[in-house]
Amino acid sequence: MDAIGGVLCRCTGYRKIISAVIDAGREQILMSSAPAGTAVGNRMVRLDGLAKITGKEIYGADEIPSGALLLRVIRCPFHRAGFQFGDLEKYAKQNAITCVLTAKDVPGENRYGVIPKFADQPVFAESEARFKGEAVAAVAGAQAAVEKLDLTQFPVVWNELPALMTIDQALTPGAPQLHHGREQNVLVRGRVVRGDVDAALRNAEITAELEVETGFVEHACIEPEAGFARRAGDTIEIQACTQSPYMDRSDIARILGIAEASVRIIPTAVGGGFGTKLDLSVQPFLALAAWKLNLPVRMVYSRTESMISTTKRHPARMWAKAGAGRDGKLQALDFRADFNTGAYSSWGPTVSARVPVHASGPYFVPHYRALTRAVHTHLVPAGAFRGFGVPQMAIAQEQLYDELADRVGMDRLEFRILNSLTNDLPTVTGQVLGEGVGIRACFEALRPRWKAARKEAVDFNSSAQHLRRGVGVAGMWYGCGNTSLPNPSTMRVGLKSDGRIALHQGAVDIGQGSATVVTQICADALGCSIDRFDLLSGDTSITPDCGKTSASRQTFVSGKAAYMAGEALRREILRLVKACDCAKISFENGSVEVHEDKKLHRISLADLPIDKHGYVLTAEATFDPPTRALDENGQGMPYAVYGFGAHLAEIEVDTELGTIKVLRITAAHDVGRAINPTLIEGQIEGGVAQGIGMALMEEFFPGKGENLHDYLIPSAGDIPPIESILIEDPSSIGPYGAKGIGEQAVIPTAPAILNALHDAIGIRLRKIPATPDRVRAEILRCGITGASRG
Amino acid sequence: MSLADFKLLRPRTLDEAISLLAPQAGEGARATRVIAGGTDLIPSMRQKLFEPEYVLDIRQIAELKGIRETEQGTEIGALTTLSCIERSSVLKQHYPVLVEAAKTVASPVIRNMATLGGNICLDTRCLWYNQSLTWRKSCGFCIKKDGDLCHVAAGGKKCWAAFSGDTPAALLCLEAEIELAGPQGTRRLPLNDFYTGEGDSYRRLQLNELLTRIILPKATADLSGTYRKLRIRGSIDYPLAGVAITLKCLNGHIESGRIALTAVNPAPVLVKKASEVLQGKRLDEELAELVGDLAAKTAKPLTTSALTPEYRREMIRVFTKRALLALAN
Ligand SMILES: Cc1cc2nc3c(=O)[nH]c(=O)nc-3n(C[C@H](O)[C@H](O)[C@H](O)COP(=O)(O)OP(=O)(O)OC[C@H]3O[C@@H](n4cnc5c(N)ncnc54)[C@H](O)[C@@H]3O)c2cc1C
Repeated sequence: MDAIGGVLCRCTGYRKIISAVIDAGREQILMSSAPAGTAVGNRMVRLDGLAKITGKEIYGADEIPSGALLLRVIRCPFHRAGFQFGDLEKYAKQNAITCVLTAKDVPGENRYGVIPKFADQPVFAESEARFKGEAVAAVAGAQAAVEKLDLTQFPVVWNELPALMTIDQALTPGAPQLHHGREQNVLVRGRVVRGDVDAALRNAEITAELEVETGFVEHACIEPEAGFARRAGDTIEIQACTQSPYMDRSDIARILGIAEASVRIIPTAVGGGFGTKLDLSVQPFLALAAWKLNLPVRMVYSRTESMISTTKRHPARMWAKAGAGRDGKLQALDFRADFNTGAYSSWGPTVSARVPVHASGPYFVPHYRALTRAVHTHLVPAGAFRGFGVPQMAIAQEQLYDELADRVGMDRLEFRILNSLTNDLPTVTGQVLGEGVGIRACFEALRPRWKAARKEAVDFNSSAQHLRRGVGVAGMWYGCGNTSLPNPSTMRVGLKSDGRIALHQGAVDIGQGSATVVTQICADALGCSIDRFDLLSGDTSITPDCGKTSASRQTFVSGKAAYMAGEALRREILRLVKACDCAKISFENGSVEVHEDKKLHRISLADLPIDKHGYVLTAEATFDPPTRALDENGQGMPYAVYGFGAHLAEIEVDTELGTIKVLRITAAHDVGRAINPTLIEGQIEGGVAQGIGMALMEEFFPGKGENLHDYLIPSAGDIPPIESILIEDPSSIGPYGAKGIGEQAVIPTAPAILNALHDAIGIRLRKIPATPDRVRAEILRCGITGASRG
Repeated sequence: MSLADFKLLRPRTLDEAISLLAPQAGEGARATRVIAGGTDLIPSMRQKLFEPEYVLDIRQIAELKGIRETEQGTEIGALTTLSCIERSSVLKQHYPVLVEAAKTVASPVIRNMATLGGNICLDTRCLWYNQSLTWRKSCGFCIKKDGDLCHVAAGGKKCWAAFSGDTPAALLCLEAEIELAGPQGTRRLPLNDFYTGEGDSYRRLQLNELLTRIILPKATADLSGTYRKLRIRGSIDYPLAGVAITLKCLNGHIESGRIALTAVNPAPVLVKKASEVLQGKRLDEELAELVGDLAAKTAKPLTTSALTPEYRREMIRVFTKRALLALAN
């Protein structure tokens, strides 16, 4: 633990690194193969594992085409500023630069955005820059010349303008409006209403109310954005780290004013994405330069550049009031949240839409109102970050339910169990899930540890002086896939004449292991051992569209498409020999054998014709989870499947220092079916680490923090032992019953820690993260006995 | 943020180093910089805080390395790495407070490179200073570098950048002396006199001088001592407040005690009053409390780093009190 104290990792939560090191010493044999039909549910080794540990994996910055020019971007140093360029040609000449690019050089639309309807972000600002770090120009040229440039000397005159820095400023009548048509700087509003919340709250025997605010959170991917582009005739090729190759393709086509078919996106391995690599970063600059110059162009964001210009987690200002009966039954929740969405829309609309659907938490709430707004300010755009606003929301809602449980006089875990959503009860959007609602099972799985931990804490506290222990619990639900929008994935699988299987899987593996999971699923559906598979991944010219890697949809949606494609190929094989469904297939080199009762069919693959994909047999399947649009009250079927989970946090507070040490996290997650338990644990541990960061230390100040020295993410020593409990309450829709886990894992950690803080010393903070100075100030303000001067 | 070009000088002896340093000293940001472990200098050069024409790499100078016991005490070469200090049995036995402080610096990987000399000469730090050129330019250059503003004490003329090295607090408690070598020969001074208390020109080191060794006197050997450090994360980070204490007790009474603070002033500072108050007393809660208050009064933290100044000052009090009580037991 000490030895890796100085190493920062954003994905793993460190625990798996430590066990890997220990296992390496023990020469543990890992499972890289499994007999046909047994891949699902096994701890298979990642298919990309070897390339990763041997350093052969290609990340965004790893490949440099020969003769590539280097590109750097000139960014606005003020939160808001008008600007005028000086003599750019002279500057280029003087500095031996091949070209300078500005908004004038954009042949298509100087506008992009992850949601086309809201696209509002220019590649280069046109006359006014709307946030500190916004691009206004770029230079490309020979590496030596470009690297040497002091970009603060770039010929541009800035005219700093008054900027809107807070939600309140932005909402003030008469405030400057960032975007035409967005009155009072409100980008969108979200709304889900059910029942009569006002009456229910008036009549509720017990109510509780809470206000809390969270700050910007930086993704801090260890790999900064990087890539290169080159032009091949009328096609532009971009190789870069990304979570969403197909969306990149559409945006680039629009920016260059060319057909989508003329854009090829080749995603590299991704060193952390967490949502921020869904938006464009280096791609439009590279595309513009390579297209214009007809030369390969590359760029790597510096840490600073990455931090000041890419999306963040939305700061949220939340208020909520809930009511329950004396019996502990939840009756109503009124929830409001404003999100600071920054200068451009990015995923603001998604956050505002998703949060009202989830603000009840995984509980049955008959009367409900959740209203959200995403508000523009002159700050860095807030976008997608693991959970689309739900982690912030859970900080308010789960703390509020704790308050309510206390007022009812019920055990906080039992209160949650009592109110857990079930298969038969409607969600706040009126959807009855009918199956796979595993939340109660998650809470019940925590019960033994909850009881033991609470007792241990009480015992500890009875003798400790300034140390206090506390235990907190929080629940979570999270819809897999896009909210009420189509989000299909298509998989293609081909049988090669040598008997190997080619899987064209376009789901970008951003480190979470989806490529492995998807292959496990396909292998079992086909009935073939996983080591026969050859993966063709992530290149828009060779894989069908698998959508974006976000919204915890790849295992569920792309996994299901892989399942269907695997089954379809199996059917194709059986059809060749007219065998029945129950026949068994075995794959050999150059042949396939089909065993049916006592009959044996042998198919010699070399004898079969090759199809247009280059295979002897090809199957393709598309899956789009069933959803239904939400009406004006947010009633409908936003997601086909939800993942559920609950975390239990045990912490120790030093009341004199205000510091919080997390002692242990127990995480129960209903994943439907654990396709690969090791990878799921990896997601849980990584999610917990980010949750700890969000609860205790992470806050990004736009225009101030621009390095990982000032912006703190947890280090190995900050992560306690994490116990993962996997619950499998299958969904009939997902592949083998599986649901998502990627975002689910991060949601309950922070509220569980904050509930534990309250359990330990009785305080609730208005502002998160709970840094030691804030905790200590609150301790003093509340005059907590024995702690004021211990 | 790539490094700008510079010329690297690599002397093999101290004399050669001094002879290279003297004529090429240069001025201001372009002045020649000495590099030891480089763990402070290189990040600063990337941020264009220094743009030296020459960098003088002293790592090949063998006479600057190693820990030696002499008649007067223990001498530590300026190039001795912090991980050497952590592992040194001599230091563990006789000067445990230094070992404890060294262990809290950065991370194991950095301590393999970082030197004690570099830790002593460490530049003062401020949220408004340790930033990239673009950042500093957009916020307005400050007194410490290129400007005349102070972002932490508006209107002020004094620079408050905080000295944030860990080991100097321990060294002050050990009454360490340091030896500086220059063209005129060597001079020796108490470490306490090395620091000016100003955030900008924080150390009394001529541009043509080198820190050669650190001398721990016999008189302060075998004191009990401890170091407490405030940081948000469990590792890597600079102190946001630090307290070092050494005590010598006889029959339950304090013969002598010293307390030094770091990261809350532009210099590491001894809490002079504390030594007077502690002397001859028996350590109890009340005394610890009193001395804690004295230490807190000596601390003048400003918004040069994360966490509020009030909080950091209060932590000096808590740490001092706790450390004293821990040593008493
Ligand atoms: C991520 C990170 C975390 C850090 N955390 C801490 C921390 O927790 N605590 C802490 O104290 N420090 C910390 N540091 C700073 C640094 O690592 C240490 O202070 C280290 O001891 C500096 O030693 P060095 O040999 O690397 O110094 P260098 O970078 O080589 O030099 C530092 C300064 O001292 C001068 N110098 C060095 N040696 C001599 C000499 N012999 N004579 C004259 N001048 C000399 C240099 O010119 C330069 O101005 C951290 C640094 C990083 C990058």
